[in-house]
Amino acid sequence: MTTFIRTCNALLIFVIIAVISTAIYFQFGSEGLPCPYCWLQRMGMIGMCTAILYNLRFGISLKAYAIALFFAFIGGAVALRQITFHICPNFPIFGHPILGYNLYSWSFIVFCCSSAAIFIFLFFHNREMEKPKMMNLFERLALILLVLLTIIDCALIYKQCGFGRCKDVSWPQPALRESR
Amino acid sequence: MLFLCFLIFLNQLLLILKQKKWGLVLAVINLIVFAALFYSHARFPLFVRL
Repeated sequence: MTTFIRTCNALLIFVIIAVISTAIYFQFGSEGLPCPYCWLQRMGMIGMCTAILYNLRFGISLKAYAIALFFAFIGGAVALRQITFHICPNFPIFGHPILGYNLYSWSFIVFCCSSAAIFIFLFFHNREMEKPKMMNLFERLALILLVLLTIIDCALIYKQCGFGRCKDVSWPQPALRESR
Repeated sequence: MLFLCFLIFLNQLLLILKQKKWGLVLAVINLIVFAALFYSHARFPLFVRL
């Protein structure tokens, strides 16, 4: 059971890495510069994965799950806040929809599904899982990819925002700018 | 934003260096910084009015 839960933890990290990589791909493809909310959502996902990595490195612990859940909760709140900016009818949306949903809607779904996954992991938690184990190749790959992704994000944030606050490219909306 | 990203990277470095206690402390600091950044960007209408 311990091996199964550890593999599921690593799988969750791979899914989040795939989601962030897709967002970066669309950033360079068609979406244009990401807004501060997009960055916050990515940071929330990376923070959540880092907390889950503690499970793989030091044995599964409730503290790591708690931190991951907090990151998912605040990240979900960021995504929900961005959805509320664009929820009004005939209001311009930010970026292009993918499979019918915008990236911030997908982000909210990802945070909800991640929270659900962590709740399931917690349901199967027992004392035996808390013993530290050597990371296998699959888990080491998750660690390396996540660190690489964080370095890439650091470079992209530095390129876009420098050391200061990120400029908000999604607000005020074009329609609001004209009416002011 | 870069500060938060750097803190998360530092957290991952502590994880690689097997510093569990300091890593968890830094993870909590990351959470607080993350929540503060969200609050500063969120423009909640209620708080703006207050």
